[in-house]
Amino acid sequence: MTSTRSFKQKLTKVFRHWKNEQHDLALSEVEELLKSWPGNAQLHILWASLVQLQEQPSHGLDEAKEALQRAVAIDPNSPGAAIELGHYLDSVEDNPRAASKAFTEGIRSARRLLMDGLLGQARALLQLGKRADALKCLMEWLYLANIDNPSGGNKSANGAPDILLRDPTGQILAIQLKGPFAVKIEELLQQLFPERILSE
Amino acid sequence: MEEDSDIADDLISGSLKRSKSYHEDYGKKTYKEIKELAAANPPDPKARQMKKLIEQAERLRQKGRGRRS
Repeated sequence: MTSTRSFKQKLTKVFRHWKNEQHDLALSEVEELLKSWPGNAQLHILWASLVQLQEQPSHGLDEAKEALQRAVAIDPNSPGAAIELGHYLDSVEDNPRAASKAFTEGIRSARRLLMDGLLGQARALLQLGKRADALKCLMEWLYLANIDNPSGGNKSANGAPDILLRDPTGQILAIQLKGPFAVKIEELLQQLFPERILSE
Repeated sequence: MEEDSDIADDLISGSLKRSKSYHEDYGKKTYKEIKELAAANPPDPKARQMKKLIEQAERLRQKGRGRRS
């Protein structure tokens, strides 16, 4: 049975064993799940984590690393695998340079996921008439956008930025809207600030 | 959660003891001793690596504890 319900039940067992420090049993359950769900990146991350926790290892550490690399390849936009690989590279292989590269990828994915969530939340809140809360989401989004793309945030072709923002440290950030979120952010700005001045 | 008085060998799993960062001669030291050696100036490289292994093992154990079952 490979239904979602069965998956959830087995995953519950995995975490019950894990919590009780029965890592071999948890690992067996994950291996059963992987037979039915080989393309699930999260399962590969769990497998790699449990292999590292075994007292009597049935797999090598190199296999744990390969499982993490597989998880990154299966789901390159998911931050979890890259971040877990970063921890492995730094802690187990004492390779901070490679770890930093993995963490950079994971952090970038996590930031973009958070930006997507903040934009969705802002739009939902506006529909509920919660303008102030929507504005908070937008401000957080703009702050992350500036971190995500600092070099692209200054001036557009006509020399003027699209948005000026004061960050939590008091610094003024100039942001140019572009990328996959630009149209949605522009729509959101029009709803939040219908009277705002648009430069041509 | 690891305690300062815990012995390194009790905190590092058998699997992680296969890492090149594991140093058997530091296995009987306490976590506190290892932290102090790792923080010394200059830092003790073996202690620094052992500290990372201890903290990785603890982090992974916590992943299991952080979920409702």
